[in-house]
Amino acid sequence: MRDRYRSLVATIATSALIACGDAAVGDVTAPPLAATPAAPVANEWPSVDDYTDSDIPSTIGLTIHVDPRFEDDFRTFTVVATVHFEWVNEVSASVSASLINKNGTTVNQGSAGMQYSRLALPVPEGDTTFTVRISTNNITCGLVGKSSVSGNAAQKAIDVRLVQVVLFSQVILPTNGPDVLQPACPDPDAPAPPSGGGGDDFETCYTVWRELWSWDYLTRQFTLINEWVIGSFCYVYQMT
Amino acid sequence: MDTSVRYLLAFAAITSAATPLPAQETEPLGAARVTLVAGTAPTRGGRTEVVRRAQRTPQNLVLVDRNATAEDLAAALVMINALRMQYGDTLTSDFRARPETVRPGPTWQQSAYRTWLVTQLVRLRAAPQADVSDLGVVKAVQITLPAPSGGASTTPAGRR
Repeated sequence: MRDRYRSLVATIATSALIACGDAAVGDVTAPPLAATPAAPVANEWPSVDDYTDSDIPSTIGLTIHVDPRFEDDFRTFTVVATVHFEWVNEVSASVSASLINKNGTTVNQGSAGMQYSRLALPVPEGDTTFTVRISTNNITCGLVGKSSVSGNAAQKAIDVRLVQVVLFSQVILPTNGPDVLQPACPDPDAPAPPSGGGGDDFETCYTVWRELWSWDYLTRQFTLINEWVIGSFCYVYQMT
Repeated sequence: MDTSVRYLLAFAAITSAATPLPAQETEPLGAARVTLVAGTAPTRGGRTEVVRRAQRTPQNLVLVDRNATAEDLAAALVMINALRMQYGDTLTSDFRARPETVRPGPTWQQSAYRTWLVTQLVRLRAAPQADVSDLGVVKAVQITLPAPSGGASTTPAGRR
């Protein structure tokens, strides 16, 4: 029994010596430094093989819709950007807004952006919204609100060398949104009434007709084709 | 066609015509240019008449009779505000409105607004003749109507 125990201990000790010695490792050459990924991207983007094994299409999509408008009685210019993307795992977009006066001078400007990264296979589609708000500096007439949008979307992966690659991408170059106008400033030839009504109510009742006019190409003038009474209404206006 | 059916159709047409347009929901109202016109009589009687035109410019007109008072002009401008708030500035058809009754507040006679209206009536009577689309050669001046403020309101149901 004691001999069997000594034999077992000797076997374990011998195995440990062999396992820890260089003879068990063999010739292994360390990889050259250049082949090592600069950034530890492994375990971040999906691999190219992941894409191959999946049904992810290469038809990626990116659209950015902008909705510029004035708010707060024309004291704030707001641009809402809605970003829609399909089959991508990285998206970025930016929107800039500016206010120009009649001399072409920029009164105020601002910008905002979004960044979306998904460290996995792309999703079929997604939407996100962000907003730029800039003040008109209390100017409520005569300004033009301008907006511009740009964006980038991509399918990103890592290749067999663990290097980050872009499989497909789509770029939206800077694109202008529609210009939005404040009301025209008062014209000296078209005076505005003064304030100072003292908060008095002014009530009037009136009858309203609706009229349909049509352009007559033969006579080259508008012709009344139908009219009808909508009704009688009363309206109270508070003089300020 | 049966007479009652005709009445029913006519009522339906008027009801649908009175339905407010949705333009106001997305269209903020700013100041509006209004053209006061003298030299052509209001077509519906009365001393002032508002015309809002969908396809022709100027869009907002007030036909002012030579006997019109500051109260008549005030009523016309209030009507323009009311129509703008109800239908917005993007119109699909023309509107014509005639004031029936006018009831100013107690301080009206001394208000700066009334004085300003009188000035505009004088200005209109002294204005040179000009060609206004579809109205011919008439006396016309322009004024700027400020954006309707929160102080404006319609009476309940708005109809009498």
